[in-house]
Amino acid sequence: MIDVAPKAALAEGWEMQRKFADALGRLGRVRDGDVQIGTTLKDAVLQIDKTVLYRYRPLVEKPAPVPILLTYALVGRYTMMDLQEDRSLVRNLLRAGLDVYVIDWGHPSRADRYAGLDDYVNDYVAACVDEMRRRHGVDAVNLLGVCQGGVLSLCYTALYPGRIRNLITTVTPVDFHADRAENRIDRGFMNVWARSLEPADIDRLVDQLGIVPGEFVGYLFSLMTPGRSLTKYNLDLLDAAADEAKLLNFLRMERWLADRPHQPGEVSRQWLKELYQDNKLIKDEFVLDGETVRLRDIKCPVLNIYTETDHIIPPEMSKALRGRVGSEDFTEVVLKGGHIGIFVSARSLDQLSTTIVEWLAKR
Amino acid sequence: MTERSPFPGLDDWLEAWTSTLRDFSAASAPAELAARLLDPRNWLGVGGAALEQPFETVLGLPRLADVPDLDRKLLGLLQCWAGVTQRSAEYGAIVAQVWMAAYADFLPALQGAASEGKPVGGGRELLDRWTATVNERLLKAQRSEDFLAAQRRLLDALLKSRAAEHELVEIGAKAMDLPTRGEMDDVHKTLHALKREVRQLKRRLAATEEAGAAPGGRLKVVAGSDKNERGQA
Repeated sequence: MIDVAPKAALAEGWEMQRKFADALGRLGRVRDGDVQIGTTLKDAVLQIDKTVLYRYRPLVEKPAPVPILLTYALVGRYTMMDLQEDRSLVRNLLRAGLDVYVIDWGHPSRADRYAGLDDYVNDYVAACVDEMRRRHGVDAVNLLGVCQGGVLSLCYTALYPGRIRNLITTVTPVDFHADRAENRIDRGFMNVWARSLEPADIDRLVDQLGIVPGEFVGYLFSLMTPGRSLTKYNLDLLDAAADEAKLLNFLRMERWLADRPHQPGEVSRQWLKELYQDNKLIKDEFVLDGETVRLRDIKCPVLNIYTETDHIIPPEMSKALRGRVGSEDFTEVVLKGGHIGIFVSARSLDQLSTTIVEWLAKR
Repeated sequence: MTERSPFPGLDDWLEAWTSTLRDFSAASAPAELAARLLDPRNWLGVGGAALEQPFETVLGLPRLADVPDLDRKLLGLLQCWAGVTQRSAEYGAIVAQVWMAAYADFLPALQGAASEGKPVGGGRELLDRWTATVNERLLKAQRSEDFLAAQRRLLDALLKSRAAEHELVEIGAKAMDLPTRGEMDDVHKTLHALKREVRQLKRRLAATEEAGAAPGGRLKVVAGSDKNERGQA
């Protein structure tokens, strides 16, 4: 079963010991201040409650006249799009001459438990878009949503079609039951978990805690890749610590993961019950502030980007957007990489940035 | 010859009282519950559902208006903690089975690979193969009905336990004239409703102003007003 000569075993043991010592030494030299994320310069231009609209400082003299708004998911921080200087979607867009804004949802607490997706779409996204329109003197801006932020972007564009010039959705869930088509054990655990709950379980969770803690969401994410979760702080860290640049990448990702915000209670209730369980978005039954979100009301050009190996949002969930929007200008792009990988892996990020910039340039 | 008591009346009374106590301890749920609570196995989650019925029986007794409710709440909390212990043990048992199944997969897989001329070549490879085996087993198990049900029951037990703790904390907070979580939630709910109302009014005002400024002064519906561009209310 195991064919290892004693000498080889000893050598491997010695090598492991050396790696361990190296890793300890390297980890000991890295200071917390060395691990920085979201460093691209930006200025706050609007704040509503805990939501802040930032404008990144342009990197070209005359940026494009129509600005672009980035909306990240509520379950993570927007800093994923600007993790490090040489792997930053934000910087790539700025270098391409775009005028880039981002929404920072902040860190909701129990005091925000009554904020629902209605507030996020009709108040927060709407106010940010209006502020950008006012500052740039344009009728409509470009909107780029990531994952849950993509759902907010779809809802906003459907409800306020005249305000968005071009819509880009990345790794965005549209059909929340589409994971059943493939039913792979390594994808879509969140779908299975959410459907395993009774609606009353979700009500009890929200009513009791007021928020869904970021730590709880992090635990659910760790269940999606159990093997990786088991080896993260031993084998993976040892491998990463073999090289200083790799170690810093590892630690930047850790910093981003540790910054996982809590989810407002009502947002979680809607997200889990109305979308993951009842799949209302694709059925044109999702209602915000009394208004039904109808995807066919989206008339602007749409670029839908997803990855072929996304374990969080299985590709079928995103692909479902095709044929659902009312726009005749619909583009679908499949990239290599994972849900997070397309934003942090050098090769995938280049593909992602180029795809977005070239698509926008034509419009 | 039986010895006669010098206090025959008292003997009868004692006999009646002892008999009542005997019946009470044999059939009464409080005594049974107390006995079971003292059994450490029940707190280690290995006593099965031994605590569930006694708790149900005691907490199901009718309430009396002038008897303080604190005891009942404390007992309710104990019940919740026992529930968490029980559900944790059930969840742990399912996870343990997955690990045992992974081990059962692993050894034959190693033997099979070795017989195909692919023996493990080192410690790291062994670890990688083991991790891959556990990963696959865990992925499968996590989607099984048994695992999901156990996880849901554990979550439910934890939330009920937290609710019971809150109830007691609120009693303490009220006694000390401190604001309670429930009161704070009420304030936040009111505040949230007010904020929404203010924003809606602002948007309506902006729409009216824009309509006034538009040529001809006709009402032009804008984003953020009560109606969107497709005219939905």
